[in-house]
Amino acid sequence: MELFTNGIGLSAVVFFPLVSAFVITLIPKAQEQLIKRFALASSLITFVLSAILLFQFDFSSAEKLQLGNKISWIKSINANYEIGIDGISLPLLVLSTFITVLAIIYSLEHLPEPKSPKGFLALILVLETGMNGTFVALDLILFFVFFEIVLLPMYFMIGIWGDKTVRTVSGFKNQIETRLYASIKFFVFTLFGSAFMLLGFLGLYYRGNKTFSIPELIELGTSGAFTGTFATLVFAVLFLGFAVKVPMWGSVLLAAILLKLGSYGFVRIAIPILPEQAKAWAPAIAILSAIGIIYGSLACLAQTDLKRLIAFSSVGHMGFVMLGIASLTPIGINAAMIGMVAHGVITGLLFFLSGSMAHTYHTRDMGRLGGNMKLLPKTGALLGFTAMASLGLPGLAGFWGEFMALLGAYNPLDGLNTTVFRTSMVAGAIGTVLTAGYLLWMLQRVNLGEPSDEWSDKDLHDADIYELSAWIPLVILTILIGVFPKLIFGATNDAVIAMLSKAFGG
Amino acid sequence: MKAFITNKIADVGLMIGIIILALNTGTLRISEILYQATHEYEKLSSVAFISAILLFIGAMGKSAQFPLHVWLPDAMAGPTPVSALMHAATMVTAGVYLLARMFPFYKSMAPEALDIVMLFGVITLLAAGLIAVVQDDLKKVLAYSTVSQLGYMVAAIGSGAYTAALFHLWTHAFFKALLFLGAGSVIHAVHSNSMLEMGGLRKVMPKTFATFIIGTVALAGLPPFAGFFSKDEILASFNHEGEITFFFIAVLGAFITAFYMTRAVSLTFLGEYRGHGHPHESHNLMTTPLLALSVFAIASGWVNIPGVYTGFTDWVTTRKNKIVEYHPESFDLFALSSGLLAGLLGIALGYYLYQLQGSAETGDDKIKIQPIWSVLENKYYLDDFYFMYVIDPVKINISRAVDKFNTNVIDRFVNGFGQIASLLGGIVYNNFDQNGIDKLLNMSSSGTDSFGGKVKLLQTGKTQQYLMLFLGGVVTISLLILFII
Repeated sequence: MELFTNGIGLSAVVFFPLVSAFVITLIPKAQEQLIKRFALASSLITFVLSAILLFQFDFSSAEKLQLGNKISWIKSINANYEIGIDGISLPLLVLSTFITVLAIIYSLEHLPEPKSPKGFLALILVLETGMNGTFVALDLILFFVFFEIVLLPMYFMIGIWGDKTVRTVSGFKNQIETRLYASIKFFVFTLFGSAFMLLGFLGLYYRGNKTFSIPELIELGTSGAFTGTFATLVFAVLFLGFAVKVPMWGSVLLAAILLKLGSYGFVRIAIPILPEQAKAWAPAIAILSAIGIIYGSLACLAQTDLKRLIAFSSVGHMGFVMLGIASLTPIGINAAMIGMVAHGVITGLLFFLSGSMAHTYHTRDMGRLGGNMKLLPKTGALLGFTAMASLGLPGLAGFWGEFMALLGAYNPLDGLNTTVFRTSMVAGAIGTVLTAGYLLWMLQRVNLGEPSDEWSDKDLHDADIYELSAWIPLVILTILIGVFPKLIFGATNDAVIAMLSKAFGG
Repeated sequence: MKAFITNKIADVGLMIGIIILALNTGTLRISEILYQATHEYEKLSSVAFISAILLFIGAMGKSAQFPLHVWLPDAMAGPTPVSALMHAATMVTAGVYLLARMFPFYKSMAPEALDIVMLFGVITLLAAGLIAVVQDDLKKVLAYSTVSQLGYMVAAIGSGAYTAALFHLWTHAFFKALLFLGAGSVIHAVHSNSMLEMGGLRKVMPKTFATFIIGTVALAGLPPFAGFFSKDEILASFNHEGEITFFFIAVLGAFITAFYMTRAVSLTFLGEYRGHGHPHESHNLMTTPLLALSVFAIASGWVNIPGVYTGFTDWVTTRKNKIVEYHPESFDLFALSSGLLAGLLGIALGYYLYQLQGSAETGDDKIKIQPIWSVLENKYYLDDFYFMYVIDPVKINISRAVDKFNTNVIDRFVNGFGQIASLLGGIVYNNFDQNGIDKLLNMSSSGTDSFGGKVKLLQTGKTQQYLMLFLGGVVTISLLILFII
């Protein structure tokens, strides 16, 4: 297919959602059915396009950047519209389009107050453009643009459709609505990191022969163009920018995809362009990851709010991903890739479920949510399944991310301090016990036992067809990836090995 | 939950052990690891002991060795068929299986680890057996009995007789499953787990009674029932290895086993019925499996009779990566007689105390010797220890501290940025902008205004004043020109 090999297909996957969002703004607000159908159709089309990319992709040369293009964009600063995908970005791109479809299916009938599907669905599509674009961009300015595009829809989605309960926040005198606090916190936090990231990009540009092109920078980086304090500083600010995607009041897309933008940035930009610095920082990152795993899991144990527990669980899981990345080995980074995909699927599903339960029960307090299996058997069964997947039960997708990250950490790259890494590995292994602990405890409090009397006269609806059609694909994917991880490794392995050997020598 | 978490803790050891083994041998294939362990030693030698111990920790959790056994008795809350399947025959034996499968590795490269394995096995078999004596719940007796028998198996592996361990695993599966299903039949009839509410059931449940007796005798290790052959082989192995202390502890364990099983039988089946219901024999659906299993409980030991027929041992012995192991050529008379004697004594004492002395009738358990009894009843206070020092600190104290740290320290720091930003904004706006820049701006206009007001005073209209100013100006300029230029 000509369209695809010369990059138009890839651009379509990125920009089609944006165009659809624009079209939606033109449709009158009252025509809700039309808006919903249109949004669903366009997300499906985008997913089909990405699936076609999947088939067009040459897996035997998965390390090469394929199906892309390079068009001159801003001549004066030599920033080009350069896109392409390889084995590392392909799974994430397909995951992104897939989860967007599911999120839209779910939102068709389950939008929080204030309903207004027009605004919400348009924003989701803009968000999708941002996510897809980040995964295919090969020019730093282009990458930055897409990286930032995701902020705007998220700000509005959290701020308008978020949790309206008023709460006190430490450090402020007045109380504030949670959604407003969360949206600003998210925006400022991410922007803070991005500002530094931009500085890093500019630094690379000036030192690197005035190019923003990632492949060219990788060539320069591995041939020693960036050294010394400069390189350390740049790595530091890139680290800040990528590491700062913290989930606060999670939503499906936030946890499922946006977290991955940060770790993807590491694998795509920071490590290939500045390998020496990556090596210097790796032990510190390993220690931070281990702390993240333990810290996140401990904080989860103390939660009484179901959604917040799941949000903190992302901290723990991303700890495993970063531990894998920090090991700078093929095993470790492959583990990180499959961990990212698995986390997107599993935690995405967890957020779907908890959101649905919050909507049904009008509470997220686990103390009140007991006996869920009896009241909502379908949701409860799925919650049990997903919790098992999240704690790394072998046979389901989560196991590979955890186990292989530990495997990678045992023997990090040559020259790295093995004691630090092996200690982090042990900490991570202990973290798996804590993970099992809080997830099982959550299941015990929420799913098992007797429902409290306050639900006895309420009419509680179990999962309906919209919810199930959004959730079942994720369940299937969890099982498939769990028993057949080659689905992911088939794409990522070559690319990871090529990236590492280029960065650190064969 | 307890089962899951205890097993997960053991899994930490297993995972790390696997990682170490895999990355040092370069393979995850068991056959290749064993090959390296028995033929090429260099890669493994530095990590052999630690990975052996770590794998054993995994086995400890799954096969309920002390101190990771705490989950098994509580798992009795589940249905009896589940217990019969998992906790008698299949799931709990996975740990023993792991050790047996990796035995060439242990024997060849980490023999010190085997000593540790044996130690834990022996501790388990004794400790669990003692707790079984004080249980009033029939299923709990069987649960602790299982833990104790698993201890036998693990200890056997530790002493180097892995085929004996597997043989005991095989026979134990049959008679323990039989006992569990029999217990299920009894519990179904009496609607209670507690032996204090049973008694006299031999009259109304003859099939259950008969098969239960068969299972008991098999467990106690009397010939020609299954347990005799397998237990005897384990004892023989201890004797052969010269582990006399452990040998006697194992013999003591056999005594205790026979004792608590006899106690259980007499409290449940002998004497008179103490409960309130109307028990009757269970449906054929329940008793037929009992009959089938009792056949195996009798016969399964006959697959391995030293000196006569050793089919089982031949079958499970590893052919590749062969490790030299002791296989008795004929019966070890010392082991045989000790085991037999212990079993008979146990039955005798049990029968005496419970049947003849009528402890069952009076409910006056003669062996309630304090303070030993309460230690045993509280399972050596191990559960309390775990809850007080492991679970609760993490679950309640540490996790809440972490959460508070997160909310009050980290978040406050982050929010502080927001506050600083708005404070700075206030300063910049109020002080710089309003008081500073704007003031300057305003001052320039008011200054111009006042200056203009002052200058306009010069415009008086008086010609003399203008002439004077003119003169003054000329003088000043000429003076300037004279003195400066």
